[in-house]
Amino acid sequence: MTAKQGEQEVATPIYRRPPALLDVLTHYCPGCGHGTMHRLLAELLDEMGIREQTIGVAPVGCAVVAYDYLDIDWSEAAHGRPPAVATGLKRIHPDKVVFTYQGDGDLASIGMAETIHAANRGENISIFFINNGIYGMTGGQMAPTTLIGQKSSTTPGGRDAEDTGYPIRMCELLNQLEAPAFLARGTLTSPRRVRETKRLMKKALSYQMEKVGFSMVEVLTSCPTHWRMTPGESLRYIEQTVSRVFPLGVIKDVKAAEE
Amino acid sequence: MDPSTGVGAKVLTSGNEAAAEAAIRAGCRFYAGYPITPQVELMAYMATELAARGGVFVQAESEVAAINMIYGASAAGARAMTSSSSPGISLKQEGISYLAGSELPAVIVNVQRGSPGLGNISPAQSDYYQATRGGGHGDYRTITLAPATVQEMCDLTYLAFDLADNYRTPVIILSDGMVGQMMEAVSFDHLPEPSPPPKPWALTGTPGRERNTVVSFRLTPEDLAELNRRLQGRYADICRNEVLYELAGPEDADVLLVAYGTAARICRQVVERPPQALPFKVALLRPITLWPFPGEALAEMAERVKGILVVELSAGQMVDDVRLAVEGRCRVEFFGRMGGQVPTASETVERLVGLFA
Amino acid sequence: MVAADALQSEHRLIVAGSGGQGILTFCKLLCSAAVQEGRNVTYLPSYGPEVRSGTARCRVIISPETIHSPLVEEPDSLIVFNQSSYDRFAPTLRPGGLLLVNSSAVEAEEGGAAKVLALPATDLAAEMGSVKVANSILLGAFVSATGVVSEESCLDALTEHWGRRRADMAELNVQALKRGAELVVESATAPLKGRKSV
Repeated sequence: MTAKQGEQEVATPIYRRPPALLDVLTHYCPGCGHGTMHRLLAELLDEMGIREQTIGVAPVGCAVVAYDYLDIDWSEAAHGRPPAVATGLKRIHPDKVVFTYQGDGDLASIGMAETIHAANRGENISIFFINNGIYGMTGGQMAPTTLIGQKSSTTPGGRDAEDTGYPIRMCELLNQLEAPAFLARGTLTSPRRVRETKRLMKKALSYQMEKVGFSMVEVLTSCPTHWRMTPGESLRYIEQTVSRVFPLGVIKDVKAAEE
Repeated sequence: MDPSTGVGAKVLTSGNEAAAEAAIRAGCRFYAGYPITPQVELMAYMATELAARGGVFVQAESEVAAINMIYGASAAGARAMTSSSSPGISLKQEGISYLAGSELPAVIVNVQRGSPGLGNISPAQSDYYQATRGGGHGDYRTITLAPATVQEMCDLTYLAFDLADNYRTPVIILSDGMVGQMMEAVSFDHLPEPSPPPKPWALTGTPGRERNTVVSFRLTPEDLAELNRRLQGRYADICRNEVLYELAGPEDADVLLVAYGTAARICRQVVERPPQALPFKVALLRPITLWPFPGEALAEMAERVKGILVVELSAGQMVDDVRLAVEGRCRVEFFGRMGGQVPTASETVERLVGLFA
Repeated sequence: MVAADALQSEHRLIVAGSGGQGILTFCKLLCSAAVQEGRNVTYLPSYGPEVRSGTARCRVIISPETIHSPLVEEPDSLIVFNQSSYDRFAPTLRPGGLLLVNSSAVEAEEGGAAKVLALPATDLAAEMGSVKVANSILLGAFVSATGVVSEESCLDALTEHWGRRRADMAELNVQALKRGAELVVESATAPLKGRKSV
């Protein structure tokens, strides 16, 4: 489709930057999932009309400067502590939307206690958990979610269960607790998967607004740089291998259980 | 802050509870803590009272979580507080560094106990270095207030909230097991209604304004140097404006005792009503702010006395600051007790006589 | 009766026994009464890791003046609830000081420089219906013997304390406090000494 603009013919835009996504270049590598995740969040903040009542908590890790990309109030947090910081924010502003945005090292390793206890208290916050199975920012070390056999700079021969244990399934772990309201896992490997993940994220934010309770959406994303794959290969790796270890879908939904 | 003044609406209260009550009266809206002796009464008081008076109490899963919850509540614009004792304060240090770097006000009470390691639960003053040097990583300082009485646990906690807000910095109340556990008659009625300054930087959602970010991260050295310069400028203001100390005893003293908190009470006894007669005149300089340290007052006193005896419940930490301030103007000696022991007035007199008679 | 000089002078005491005997409540009530009378107090408990049993002791100073050191090196009065506390603290008592012992649990030596007042508080309390009020019996005796605070202030503090916690215990504690005070008055003509001398 084309439109007349003066003498020049230009394409009618079918892609626009959502207003909540700041017009800056991100520092993410090509093929990284953070870009898509930021966009999904920005779209939801705009579509749900909550940009002006949302406070984000950024992690330590690749998304450390997430606050440079979304046009909302943001706090940083020490490594692993976003759920504790979010607890303080939310308890003071119970009517605002408070979310944390965390990677696997932040959420499932150094911040495991904060994650479990915020979930167990049923803090009315939403956690967006970006699981790419690797420490990206520090150069590709083993994460708590690295698959058995997967190579990293600290598991050069591939992760060995005998030595380092097994990848931690956070949604399933939190599902042992009474309090959480919504636990789900998505991925970004295809347009269909992206739309499904966005639906899960929307549900998490809606539950928070309805004061249903704690929600976490885990998203399997790729790290082509440290996985030493092309972006295409890494998406296929998620579909064929990673999602076998971390099954996609809704793990807990208290409202669905009620219905 | 003299416990004998203002008879009337005085109540028998422990230091820990006095700090908690003063915090609530100072407008503290959020408290998070983790159980540790000898400060648990503060936490229990908050669990009952803060919640009942419209604030938020959270029993955190760890000391680390507690300090980071404070970070969140402070970023949200609320007056926030946590408390612990020595080992727990060590765990909070990363969070305190983040508070300093993010320019967030917060009040942190350390009811010190015997150390190092797990140590014991008896009173000690061995966290002086940690409190006055910043404690965590980085070029930062924390205002450090040292109460000597239960009334001061009240008054200095109230003051801490104002200082924290005015300078956007964490403030440490450096107490100890004796002042925390002890009960004295305390008045709360003189505390004014709190009037926290506006916090346009707070995270409240963004209607009608540009977005706010509360961060300590500065990727470029230029930006981080700029943040550090701002902090150092603020610290210089604090040193100029906020020094507090108390002098007791004769102006023409031969020997000056320097002590804070519990040790200062023992020394004040020596000055006012010594258990044994002293062959010379003794005065006391009691720092109330340990950082900023009352170095100028001390340097002035050092010109007039024969010698100084620093008394601490430690192996000797504040004595370093005394020596830095005195710069050789007079002799500086140290008397300390470690491991949770408290020197008596008699022992202090013996040491004084042994050193200076 | 409160002697005028008792109000004018400083009184330093150590109260000791085992955890659960009401040592801290004894001291808290005494201090509350003194505060109510407009005096300064320091109440310095020695806190142990145990919740029950173990040792419990508290150093109290009551003074018309500002109190600096809350440590009590040479007490004017020593109130001991068990034998180990007696053995430990009796030698520290000021010459001419008051030694008040729970003779149900303490064998106090004859003689010495102290005024000895021995009441079988635990047995008396059991007779009254609960061993838990032994501390109120000794508090009544202490107040009656020294006049450091008035019995009325003590009764007020006690009623307020128990009223807030366990109202059902308030009346029995009031009776216990009065009993302790009476026993001291009765003994004024025949001083109490040694074990089970009442």
